[in-house]
Amino acid sequence: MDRHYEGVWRYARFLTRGATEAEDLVHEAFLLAFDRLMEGQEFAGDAGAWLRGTLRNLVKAWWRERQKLPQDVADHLGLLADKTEEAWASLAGEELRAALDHCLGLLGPEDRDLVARRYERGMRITRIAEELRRNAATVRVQLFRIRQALKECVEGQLAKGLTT
Amino acid sequence: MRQDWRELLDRALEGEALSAPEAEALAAALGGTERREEALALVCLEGCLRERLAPAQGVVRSRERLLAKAVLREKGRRVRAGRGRLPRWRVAAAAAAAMLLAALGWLLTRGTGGYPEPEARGDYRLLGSASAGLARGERLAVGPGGAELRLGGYCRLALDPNTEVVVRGGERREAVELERGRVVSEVEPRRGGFTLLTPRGHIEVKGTKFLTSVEYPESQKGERDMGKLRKSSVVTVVVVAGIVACHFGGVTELGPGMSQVFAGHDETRATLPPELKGFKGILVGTIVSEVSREFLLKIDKIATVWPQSRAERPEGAVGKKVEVVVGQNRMLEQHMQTLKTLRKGDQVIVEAFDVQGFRLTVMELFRKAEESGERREGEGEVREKRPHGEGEGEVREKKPHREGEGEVREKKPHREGEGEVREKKPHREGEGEWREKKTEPHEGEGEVREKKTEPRAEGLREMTGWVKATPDRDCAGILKVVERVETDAGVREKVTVYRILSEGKGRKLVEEASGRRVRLAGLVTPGEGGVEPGLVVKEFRVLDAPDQPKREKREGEGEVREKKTEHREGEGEVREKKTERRDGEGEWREKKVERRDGEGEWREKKTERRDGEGEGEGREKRTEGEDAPKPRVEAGGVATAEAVAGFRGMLEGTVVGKTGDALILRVEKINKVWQSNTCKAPEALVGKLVSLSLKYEPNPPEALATALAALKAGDRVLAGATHREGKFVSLVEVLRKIEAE
Repeated sequence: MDRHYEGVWRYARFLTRGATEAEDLVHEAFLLAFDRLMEGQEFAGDAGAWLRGTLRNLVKAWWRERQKLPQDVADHLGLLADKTEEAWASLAGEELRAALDHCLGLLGPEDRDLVARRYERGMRITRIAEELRRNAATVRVQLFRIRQALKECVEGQLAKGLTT
Repeated sequence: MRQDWRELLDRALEGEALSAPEAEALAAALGGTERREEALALVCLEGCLRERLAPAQGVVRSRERLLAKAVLREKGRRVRAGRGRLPRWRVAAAAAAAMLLAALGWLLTRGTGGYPEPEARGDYRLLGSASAGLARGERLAVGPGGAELRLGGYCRLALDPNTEVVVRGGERREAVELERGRVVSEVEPRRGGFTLLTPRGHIEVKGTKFLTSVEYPESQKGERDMGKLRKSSVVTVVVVAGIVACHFGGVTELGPGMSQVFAGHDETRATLPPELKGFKGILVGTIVSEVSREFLLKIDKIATVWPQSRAERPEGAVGKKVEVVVGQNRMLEQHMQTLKTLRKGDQVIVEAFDVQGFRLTVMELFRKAEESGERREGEGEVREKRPHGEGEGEVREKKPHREGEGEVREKKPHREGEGEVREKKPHREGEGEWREKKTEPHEGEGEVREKKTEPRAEGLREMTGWVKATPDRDCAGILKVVERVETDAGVREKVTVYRILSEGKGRKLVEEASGRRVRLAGLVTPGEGGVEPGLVVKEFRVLDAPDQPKREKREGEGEVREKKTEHREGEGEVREKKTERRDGEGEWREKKVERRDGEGEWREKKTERRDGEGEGEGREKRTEGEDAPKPRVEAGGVATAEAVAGFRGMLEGTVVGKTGDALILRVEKINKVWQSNTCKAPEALVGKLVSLSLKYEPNPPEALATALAALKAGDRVLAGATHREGKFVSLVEVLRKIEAE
């Protein structure tokens, strides 16, 4: 369990955007795994993959039930989630981290503040909007533009890294 | 960008509600492979940013919580299945988990001077407290990050997320009441006692380490009946080191590595007899179970029924068994001491209220009957005297005899500085006078009369008046006192409005008596700059019978004759001409009031509920024989602090009142619960009155204030609500009128 716990836990935070329920979902996945072991069943292949797959199913259910997403939207997000595992693994790359650090350093103070509120402090957009006395949609658009800029910057950095 | 699918995706993942067209648009967008790839990239970038800027912490503790959860779940299963003990490896795993927690390390707080004050660290908030520091008696709600509590320099408690505890105890006898969640307690031996109180009993230790959890299994299935919730609470104790004594009915000692689940046995537990539904009063009974914080009481006699009681025929419960729990109030410590002196078979006198719906809760009075020679059932009279300390006063109540019943005189302890409250007693210097005489329910209904001895400014004052909740003020409500003084020129009225301050029993008074006439004793603080004087309520009693109409009435309820003569800008209150004002506390009305014998007079201050711009004062005269106004429908009452604690989401309901920066909503539906919500049973708010205010937000959005201004009573709205503390709920994000279909 020790071997897989941290990875699955971080993956849950990734899928749920750091929601407080992430830990409960991870625990649920592990408890299901315990039950499976107690019943004498074994995991076909990597137990970590089984745990992440179970976690994805739990997150999908959480999207539908707790987040009350419409069924078709939840289904599409589910498909999206199924593809995240590979992408998730790539996040661990040193190059990506370095590129992201570089690009974050290029942000202006206002954008940096916004990014810090949203991702460092984990504030909800509506809360940020309240504090900055702005419309939530405006904040959302601003964050979206920052992410786009970061994405392009990171891709540029990675491309540069690959060519050099 | 308004309909951009990326924004919709962002909102959907954030847990915000999407309208049907928006959901359709998002689903259509994600149907395309290209956009799905883009969505994946966006999601990954978000994850990458979060991981980079706020790396996840606390994985070790999270893993330990999983271990504990596994142990507790297995134990719960075994208890439910009536089987034996846990596999040893799971107990060992729990022990290992707790040991790992200990490995996180902490240093005991050793005060340089006196005894260390309770100290909390981590992610927590104090419920219902304005103070920054943690004090005994305060409820602490733990956030998602977990928290740590240190007591007396020798007790250290690791609190899991969503745990709620109340700090009790005192020097060298620390105590914590675990209401919900999980706690790992570590107590250093030979430095003092430690007691962990739970809904099912208490755990005593001298020096040990153990894990305790309180769960309500039905709550996870959406169970709404709070009675059932409480009945099926499961307390689990896992001992890591040392020995603990679990007082759950009997006494069970647990040693290292041992664990025990104490679950409710619903089928064997007594339920509240129907005759006691809504009961508030004093009863005499015999304890018929083992004594713990919860015990069974066979009722010998209903000694007193308070006017607020809603029980229709409480005498019918005599001879029946009822479960009684020692409630969380300022008397808890004293009651816990009393419990230690009690045994099965003892007769007790207890002031008990039906608060939870399935058992009675002990309020202020709780003691053994024989101590003062009280007579048992049918013996005629039960007297009670309690010692009171220096500077304390006393309250005496005289109740009329009932057929076959005795008389109960009670003498309650009175806190220092409160002055004296007693019946028919000579007035003392610096004190007000409290005359309390149980009357027929409708006595005084028709007339508001005040005969008050002029108290000194610093002393306790006694007064009678009308209570009105004013959620827009920096106080719990207002008390309007009307005095009528007969002079040679006729009868004159003095009207004084006091701000009921939240401290003392002010909040309780407003909750229980809004719209009703009360008699109270309190301390008056001077008003300044046109602000009415404040009032710290010490004692109060509702004078109206429960079935008596409340003062706030809606149109069409009862007969109200209004006479508006003058309207002052900004006040909205119509008054007779003022002629004199004294001390800033009251005003005199120069109007002769004639009273004919045999007629009652009904004074009415009617709240304008339509536009919330103000309030008018009307007058209603009612003579005997006329129908009394019907009481306002109070389907669910005001939401309690416990009910709203942690709520974050969208409420749908009807506006029943509003002010400039707040509205009172009767909740009809929980439209949505946000991710950050920690309220365990938001559905319990349905039917309740919730006050939503902008004033708790530092910079409330203008749009909300504008939307609030446009509302009127009766409008159905959708409103964003975030619980702040106590009963305070902020109006946030959304306030939208729901148009009738």
